[in-house]
Amino acid sequence: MSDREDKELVKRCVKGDQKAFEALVDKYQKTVFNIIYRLIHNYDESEDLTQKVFIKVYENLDAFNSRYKFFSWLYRIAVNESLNHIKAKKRLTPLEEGYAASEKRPDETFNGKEVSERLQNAINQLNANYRTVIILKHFQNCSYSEIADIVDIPEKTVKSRLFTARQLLKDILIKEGITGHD
Amino acid sequence: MIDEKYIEWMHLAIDGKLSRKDREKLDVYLQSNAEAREFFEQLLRTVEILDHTEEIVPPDDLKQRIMSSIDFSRYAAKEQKASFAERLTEWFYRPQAKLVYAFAAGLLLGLLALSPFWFKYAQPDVTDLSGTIGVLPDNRFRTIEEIPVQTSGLAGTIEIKKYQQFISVNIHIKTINTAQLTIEFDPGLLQWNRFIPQDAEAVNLKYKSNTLTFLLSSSTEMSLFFRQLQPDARLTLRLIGDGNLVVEKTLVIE
Repeated sequence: MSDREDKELVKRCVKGDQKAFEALVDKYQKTVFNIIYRLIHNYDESEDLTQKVFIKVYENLDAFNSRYKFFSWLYRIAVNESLNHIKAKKRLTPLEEGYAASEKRPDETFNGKEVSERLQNAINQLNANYRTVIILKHFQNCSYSEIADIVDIPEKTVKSRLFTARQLLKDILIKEGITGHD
Repeated sequence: MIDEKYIEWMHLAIDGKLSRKDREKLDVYLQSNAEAREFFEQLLRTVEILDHTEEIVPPDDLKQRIMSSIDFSRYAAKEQKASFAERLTEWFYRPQAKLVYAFAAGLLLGLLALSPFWFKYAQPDVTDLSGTIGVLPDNRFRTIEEIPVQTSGLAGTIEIKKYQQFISVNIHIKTINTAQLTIEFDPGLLQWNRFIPQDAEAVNLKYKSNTLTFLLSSSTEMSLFFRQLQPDARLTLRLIGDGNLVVEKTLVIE
């Protein structure tokens, strides 16, 4: 479904068409849930936040500026809600959930689920800005300019953040034994 | 030691944004610098893990939860408040409206195509008329003008009468030789629509250029009927007998 079709659905939603909003939820619920989960790393809270994001999206559909891509606008709301959630949680629990270091050695192998979980732990060690660009680039395949729109920063800053984030993640993965020195 | 420029190029190469020429330069650099080569390979492995990580599957009832938490009355109420003009505009762009446009256009074209026939029959060629047409009772008409005709070869009267918007011209003339009567009128003000008798050939009647012409022979008893379309309709009668103008009369009918 193209951005033009998304915008057509938005128009129908604003005219009171529930089916149109259902189509948008169908299309984007999984992506939004994944962005949120990768940012906050909590399954149940991701579900609540996804629900909150779609409520917010629906309530603001009439304010949506069709100059922008619908998914950029949706992802921006999802990212902002997630970052706000992280901030709020930090205030409540100053000591961030400790990262459980792996007891496995670098030469040991991991199955797909384990790698995914350990990668997520590694991503969690990045600050929120780096985490966001990594998620949008590598989990959602967004371009530099789309990330710039979503995060509302210049494209040059997107590149700089992304390159730094990758290097930091590389070092964490080596340190945690997920990838190793040759 | 790795040159910062080449580190940036490594990232651009991973994202497919490095030009071919610069990629070749990067390859040469990597071949000559083992530390840079190892750095690049580690970056590639990191990206490979990122790109091959499975998606997290959300709960099955997520969509249901979202849909049940939305207050759909928000825009439904707005829809009801849409103005009549907005709804009308929207209707004009619907596919069904195009059918209506096509039908209307077809109807208009049909009327235009038939219009010459319409005008022809609205002001018929009387030489084609024959048969019997009902006439309003004569006693309802009031006489506007009675023109006596009396010459050596002609005798009788021409009466002009009116009832509501109907005008009748009644001819009662006896002639020894053939005579000619013409009635001139403006078809925009008077519409000629019937006469008695109904056999046009019998009275040798012709209609041309807003003028009715009759050839009268022996005894003529005839009535012509007009419908008055506008007030102050002008009607001119001329009777010619034996080559002389016997009667010329112009009437303005209120």
